[in-house]
Amino acid sequence: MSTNGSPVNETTMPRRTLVRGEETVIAPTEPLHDRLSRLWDDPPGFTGWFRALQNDALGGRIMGTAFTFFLIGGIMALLMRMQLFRAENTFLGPDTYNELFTMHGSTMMYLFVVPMLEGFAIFLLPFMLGNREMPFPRLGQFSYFTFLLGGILFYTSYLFNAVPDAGWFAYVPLSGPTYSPGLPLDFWLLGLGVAEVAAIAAGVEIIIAIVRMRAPGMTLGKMPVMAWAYLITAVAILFAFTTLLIASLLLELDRKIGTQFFNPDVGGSALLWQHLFWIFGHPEVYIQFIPATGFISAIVPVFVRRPLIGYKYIVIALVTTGVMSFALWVHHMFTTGLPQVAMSFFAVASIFIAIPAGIQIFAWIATIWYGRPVWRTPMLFVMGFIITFVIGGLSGVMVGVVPFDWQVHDSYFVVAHFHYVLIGGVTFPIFAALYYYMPLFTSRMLNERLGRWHFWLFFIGFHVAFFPMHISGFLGMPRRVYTYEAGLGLDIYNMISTVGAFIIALGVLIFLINFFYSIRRGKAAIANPWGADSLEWGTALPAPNYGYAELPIVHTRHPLWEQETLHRGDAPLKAMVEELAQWPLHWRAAITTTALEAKPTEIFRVSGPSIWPVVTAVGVITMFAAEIFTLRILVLGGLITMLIGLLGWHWPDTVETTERELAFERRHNIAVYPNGSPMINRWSMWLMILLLAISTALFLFSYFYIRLQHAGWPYGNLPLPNLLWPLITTLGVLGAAGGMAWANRRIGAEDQTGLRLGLLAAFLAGAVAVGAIVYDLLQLPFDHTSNAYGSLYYTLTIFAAVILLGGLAQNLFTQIWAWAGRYSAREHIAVDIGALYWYAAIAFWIALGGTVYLSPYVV
Amino acid sequence: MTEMIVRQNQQISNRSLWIGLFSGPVIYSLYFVTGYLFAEATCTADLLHFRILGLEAVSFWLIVLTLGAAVVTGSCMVMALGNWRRTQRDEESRHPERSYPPFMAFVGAWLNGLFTLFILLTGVPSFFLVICDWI
Repeated sequence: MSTNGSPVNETTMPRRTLVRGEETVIAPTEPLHDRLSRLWDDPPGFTGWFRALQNDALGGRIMGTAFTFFLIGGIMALLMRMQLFRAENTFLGPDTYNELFTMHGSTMMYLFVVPMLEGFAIFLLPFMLGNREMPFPRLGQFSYFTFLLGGILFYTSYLFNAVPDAGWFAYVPLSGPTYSPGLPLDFWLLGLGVAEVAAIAAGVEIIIAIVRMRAPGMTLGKMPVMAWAYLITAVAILFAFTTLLIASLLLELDRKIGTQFFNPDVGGSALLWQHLFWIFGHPEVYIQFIPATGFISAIVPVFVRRPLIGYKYIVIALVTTGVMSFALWVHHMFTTGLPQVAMSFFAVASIFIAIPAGIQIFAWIATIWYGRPVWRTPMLFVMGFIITFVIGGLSGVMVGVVPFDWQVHDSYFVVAHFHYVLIGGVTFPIFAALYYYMPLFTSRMLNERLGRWHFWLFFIGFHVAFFPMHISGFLGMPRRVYTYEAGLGLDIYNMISTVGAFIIALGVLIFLINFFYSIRRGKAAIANPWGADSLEWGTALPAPNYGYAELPIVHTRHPLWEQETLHRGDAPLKAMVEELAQWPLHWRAAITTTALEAKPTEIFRVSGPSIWPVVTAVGVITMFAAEIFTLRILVLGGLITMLIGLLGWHWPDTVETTERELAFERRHNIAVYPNGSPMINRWSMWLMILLLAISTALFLFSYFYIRLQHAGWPYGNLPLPNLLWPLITTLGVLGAAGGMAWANRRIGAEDQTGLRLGLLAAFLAGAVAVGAIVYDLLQLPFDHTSNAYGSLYYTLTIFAAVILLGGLAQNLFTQIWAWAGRYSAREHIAVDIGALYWYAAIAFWIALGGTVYLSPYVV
Repeated sequence: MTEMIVRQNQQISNRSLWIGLFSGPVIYSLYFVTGYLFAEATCTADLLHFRILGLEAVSFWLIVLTLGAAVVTGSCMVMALGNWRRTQRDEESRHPERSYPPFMAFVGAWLNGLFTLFILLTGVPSFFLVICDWI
């Protein structure tokens, strides 16, 4: 019941309204709204669709594409269940079945859940954080097209009758060149590799948005829990997806050019693949689960009409879960014959990760208990999540016990467990969030009656489908088998599971009907129809492309509930946001804030629509697709296209800082950067360095993992490395870093000549460094196919060369603009981050070069 | 004047807050990776076949590593708790703009406490298992 006694419906949803004061919903007055809309709207038309990069457009596209993949993956699941409906069925053959479970698992894990959650983030975060846009809209645009094209490339395998069939985890040696020759696994590795790049790109953007682009006053302790969840997830994505990219690279090198990383006959290790894959694979499921918990934390308070109980404990739980998710991976390998103590580390972590999950569950239950629940569809899915995920979590603790896992590994018990946690823990919250946020996405409410039908069919169907799998697993039914013998007692459970699967499908069908009906004829949503507390609901509907005309100033965790107005603050801050609302109106302005206190630090121009990210994505997909078919000329073409795209994307669109902007700076003591934010550029370089550091660490892990398998090293009695060429490389790298440092210092003193000479010297020194690596490789008496040592030698040194080449490419681009006189003491961010890159290159070279050239002498 | 001196003494540096916040997860991660790689490497390479204080050498060093990591995270927990207590006394922390020190200190104390517990429990099997028994 609402506070005035009338029944609750979507238009009278009780809200924690203010005792007095202005309404919290912003309705920008004309013509400011028109002017801002003209500035922020995406371009129209056919080409405009490709150039569009507004966060709401991109977020919607990503979600729509991801959901389409969900439907395709779901159909595959139905086909598998039809085959398993009865014993010794002949609906599908074994090969087709293998393809189906591979495509189903890969689609759900790579093409549905993570993109779906990232789509939510890209749409919601600017609104939720009270800013205008994500920091790198073009990166989001690139992310979408690489995801879309990567998914299409993956499914193109059907056209070539080369469908991957080695499972979503592609264990070697099955996935290696001997037992999976031909194209299928190349489609898996390269098609999904593109999608992985997309996920990492989105992760970078999300981190910077949450840490440095929050509304003034939104300190760390006032951030919505969903923002915490996405921050932790985005950091985890950088670590986990980079691991998968490196693992995929190593396997593809084995398949395509004959390296021997995973071939034990010549010194490699098949278990290395499992380690690398699961270092990605286990955090991956938490990358899916953590944002889903963010949805729950956003929805529960609104529908029980009170703030979340245990905010701080939930933040603690999220951080703990994110960190510990990287300490579990070997629990997928308990049956591979590892030392007891090694397994004990992971068994302890696997059991204790239930603690932070439990903290969150109890916090939500307590909030519901002490609130006044309103059982609308989003809340029904929340309850479905709690019930289902807890069951899945309990079975997870069971399989964390090593001897128990030995009994149920590779059985249907595990299938039951992970579907309980992934559908229960992720898909239920996704549906809850879809019902909750649909008014924001489409300005229409989804039909409540159809929503309830959807929920009950989905909930009942899920438990009917998956609970019996616990039993069939205990009875010994293995995973990934296309049929089973009659009379083993498995028939009835499989039959029930198949019925359940179709009930789920019916529920999803009702959702689709609801969605397509409601976007045309659904009830028009009023602003903040649920009476929510967080900023994403603070604008009028449909939500303007620019978010807030006048940026909100936040004082509490629940601004729409507890603040009389979103525009009260100390006088200087208030004056700044008021003036920013009116100005500048000839470029898209957003603000950056400090990480802790969320004090404004910069006004900067956000990049506008462009075709170049699409060109870059096309270049990337061309490279990957051509490599599947080993069309190296086309790979080169793709590389050139990608480089052209990158050049166009980053081509400086320099504008002069006007006197008016300088006056704004002086008046409000906040820097104005019409040519992009130095701080954001610096952060992006630090994150790029982090990605390279993760990659370096993984290469080193691979090297020493294989090294320790053998008493003698170099393996196969190959000669020890020559130290002359790495010494020259070292001097070259130091010279390049020194040249960049000098150039950076000189431009700070407005010395254009010093800048140019420093950049040139850095380039020459870096070129010598790369040349020395190449020369060393050319005169070796072995090659990358000789054995695992040779493969590691070549791969690590070439990776080091690629890092240096990246620095040279950036240097070259910077030189062009330096010689054109485009840098000044005030604006030279490209030089600054170039120097940063080369300082990091020193560390990378020491690590990689030391491992390859020095460690054989020492270890 | 005395009040100003007292207030300055109670002010908590952002560095101390960040250390308190991140030390638990970082030290746990380092401990975990180091311990696991040490165990796997010594067993794979068949090293350290002797006993120290009645324990297998590998067990002994794992226990030392465990206790060392636990001491560090425990100390960071104490530091974070101290920060939190100071924030309760510090008037300035109650200003909305400075609300983050109590939050960071509280979260840091709990994170360090949890990870201290996890570190200690991870080290327990070292007392009981035959370390390099391959299953």
